Amino acid sequence: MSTFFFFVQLLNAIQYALILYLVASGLTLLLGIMGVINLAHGAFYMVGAYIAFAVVQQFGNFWLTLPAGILIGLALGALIEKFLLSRLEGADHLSQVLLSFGLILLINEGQRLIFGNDPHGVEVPKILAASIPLSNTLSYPVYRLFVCAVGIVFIIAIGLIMAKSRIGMMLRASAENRDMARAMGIDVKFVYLGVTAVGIACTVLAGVIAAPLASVYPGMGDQVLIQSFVVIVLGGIGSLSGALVGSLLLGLVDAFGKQFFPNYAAFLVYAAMIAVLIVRPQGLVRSRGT
Amino acid sequence: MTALLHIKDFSAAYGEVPVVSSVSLDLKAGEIMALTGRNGMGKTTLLRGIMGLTPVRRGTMQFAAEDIAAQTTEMNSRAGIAYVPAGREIFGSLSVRENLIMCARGGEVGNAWTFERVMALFPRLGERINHGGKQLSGGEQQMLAIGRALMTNPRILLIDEATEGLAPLVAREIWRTLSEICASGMSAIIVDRDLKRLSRIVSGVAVMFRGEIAFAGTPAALLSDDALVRKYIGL
Amino acid sequence: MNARLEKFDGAFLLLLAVAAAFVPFVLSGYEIKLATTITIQAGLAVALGFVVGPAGLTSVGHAAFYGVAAYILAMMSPKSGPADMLLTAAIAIFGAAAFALVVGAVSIRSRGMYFILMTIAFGQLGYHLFNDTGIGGKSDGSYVQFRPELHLFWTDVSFDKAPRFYMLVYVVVFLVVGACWWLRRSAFGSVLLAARDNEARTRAFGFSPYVVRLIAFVISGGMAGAMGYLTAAQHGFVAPQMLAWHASAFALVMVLIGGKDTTSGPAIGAILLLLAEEILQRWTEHWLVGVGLIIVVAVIAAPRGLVPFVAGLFAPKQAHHG
Ligand SMILES: Nc1ncnc2c1ncn2[C@@H]1O[C@H](COP(=O)(O)OP(=O)(O)OP(=O)(O)O)[C@@H](O)[C@H]1O
Ligand SMILES: [Mg+2]
Repeated sequence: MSTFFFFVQLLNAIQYALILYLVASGLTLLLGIMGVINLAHGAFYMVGAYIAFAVVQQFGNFWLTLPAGILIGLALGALIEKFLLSRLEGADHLSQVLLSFGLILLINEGQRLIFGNDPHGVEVPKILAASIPLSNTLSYPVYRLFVCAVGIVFIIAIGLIMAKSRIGMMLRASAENRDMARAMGIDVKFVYLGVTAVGIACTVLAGVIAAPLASVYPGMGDQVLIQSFVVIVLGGIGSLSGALVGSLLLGLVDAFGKQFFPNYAAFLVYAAMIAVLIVRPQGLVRSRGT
Repeated sequence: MTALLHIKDFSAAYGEVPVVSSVSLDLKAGEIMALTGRNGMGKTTLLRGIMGLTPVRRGTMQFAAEDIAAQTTEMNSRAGIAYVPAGREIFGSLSVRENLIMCARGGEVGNAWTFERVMALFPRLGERINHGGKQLSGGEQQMLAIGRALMTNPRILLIDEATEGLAPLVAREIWRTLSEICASGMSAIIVDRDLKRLSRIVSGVAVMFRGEIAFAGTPAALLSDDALVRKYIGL
Repeated sequence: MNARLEKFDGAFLLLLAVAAAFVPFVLSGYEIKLATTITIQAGLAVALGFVVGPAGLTSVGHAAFYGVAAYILAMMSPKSGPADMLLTAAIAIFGAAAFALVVGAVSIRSRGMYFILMTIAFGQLGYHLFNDTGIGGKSDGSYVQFRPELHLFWTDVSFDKAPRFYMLVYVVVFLVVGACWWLRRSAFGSVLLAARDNEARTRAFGFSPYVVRLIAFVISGGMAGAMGYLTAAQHGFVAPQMLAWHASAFALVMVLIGGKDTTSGPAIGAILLLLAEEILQRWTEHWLVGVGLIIVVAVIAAPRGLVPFVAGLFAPKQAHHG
């Protein structure tokens, strides 16, 4: 394997890891702060990709897709918390699993209803359409670097918010001790609303920026869902820094696994999660929010 | 003058089991009251009821002339009630500084509790300002729990088991700061076993027995009656 | 479970058993096939309900045991003639139970959401095993050319006719349901409940909650395998999707709709969900929207399930225990 090829794979791994991190951070916040297990997360990722497709098709402008994805994601999340999740308070994981399963069916079928079963492509915006030549045969698309940039900005932003802002402190406090957080005046219901809205918006955004990378197709979120669960089990539920490490690990496994054992890449991912849980049945250390 | 906190016929229960029944209590602004009694008599439940953490089954509860029986805990907090629970329950994953500034709210100009003022009250916390909450000793945790409550600039402090489990020297430190806080015009209900210390800072004492208030009066009246003390408090 | 709920549970089961016995006499053609499918799924749901309810294990991986047994039949079926039913069924059920033993042994050490993720991971592992590798015909699935035959000493019994196959399914499913009903009431069932509700006390009595749960999990996995075997025999076709977590989630929906704390509940949930699917499918191509709505409404409105809900309607006013 040439150095350039290796370098390209490494970049691909990092770029995929950053997308995974966008999805996994929303998932881990929901799990860590609210204790909600949301299997519909992959479906929201797909929603993002279809939003990108629809917006580019309608308005011919890729840059509109980012605000559209974020706004629709926030609205979806807020509605789901307000009308569904908040009613599950005190219910067990079974209800959460099935509620999100119901949402998956609704979203998947809604997608089929509106867009049909055919895969679609989303064009890369003009200024990002170039490729950087690396060698005679290899080059690297600029759009992928753009995805990396969005991911890195997101990491820094959410890291700063969680670590430094009062909102971050309140989130961590609510995750740790709900009653005491309320006794300090934190409106925990509102916190939950915000966390769900932001968590789902992150995932939708991930789908939006991933859309031009490959085609947009039904069920495209399934793999991302399972992989982001693996990420947060690897990193520890509720831990954003853990999720980052987990995402990078999984990005590497995915990119290089696909090169070396194309038939077994999926196995490796599940095997990783099972191995972690065999060693640490209750997951890696639960460190909230940092 | 109307009471700051007015409780009438308050009852609370866990499931079917009644734990507090028909408690009536009035606290004027600036008044410090001791709440005492044997184990399991309902002191914690009463404080949690005021805070809105245990639902009110029956009765009225008013704070600053507003009905609070149906209010949520966070509304009570913003209305000016602060709670220092028996287990301290500081946020272990937050640093000392974060525990304090997280929910800081402004107060009365000139008499507001600020970060600096809390630091001056608890110099020990200043030395550990960047430590994680779970690294603190029991005494430091209690200081942080009190400091955290003060940072919301409450009008009343509910302190459960003020010095339970603390070494005598640390307990003395807590009592010193409590009297300083009380001298600043704060209202408070303080639960503790140490009646002697309590009686120095409170003007009234209520004794709970099997979910009811069995005695209400001055500390002197309670302490002078050995039979009462033996029956309701032990020792 | 209180006495009233238990009475309702028993009454519902009896009603179902009687009603299901009439199927081959009153229904015909396609309807018998539908009834067969529903009965098998009811068996799967009841088996799953046994681990979700008394054992408190929210398994999102039961379809893997169901699917593995189906694949075992497909792989053991000769191209030239029917397989030996007793032999293939024994191996399929044993294989499913053995897989459940491995999955359970590893997963039951994890609790709560970790257990859920673990079972999903194993289910998906099974899905990819058949989907990505050469085993069992990849994503196209694989065929069971001939329905297995039962070799008795004096004769061979063929189940090619739908009514007779339905009778077979009826007998097997009611054995499974009966076993679950009995297990819930047995000493073993009490220990399971104790392990779910008060782990420390179970330990104090000398039972290992882990072992008790594992036994329940393996029994249930074997039962799920029996249902997978019947499905493969019915349709003559197996596919990797049978193992995927979506299939497990569908079975969980049946359990939840009917009520996980009863034996009849999951069966009733299966009947209602599959009938609803059938009706919706005739009506629209996008029937899954309807199914999704049913699930969301059921989770929000009656999270304890229909059977406890109905039993609750007959409750005396004041006594309302959770
Ligand atoms: N969560 C609960 N569920 C059921 N019963 C409870 C609960 N919390 C407290 N109790 C019961 O309520 C009664 C009053 O308890 P409470 O904690 O209010 O008393 P206390 O006066 O604060 O006692 P202590 O001195 O032990 O702190 C006790 O009998 C206790 O056993
Ligand atoms: Mg107490």
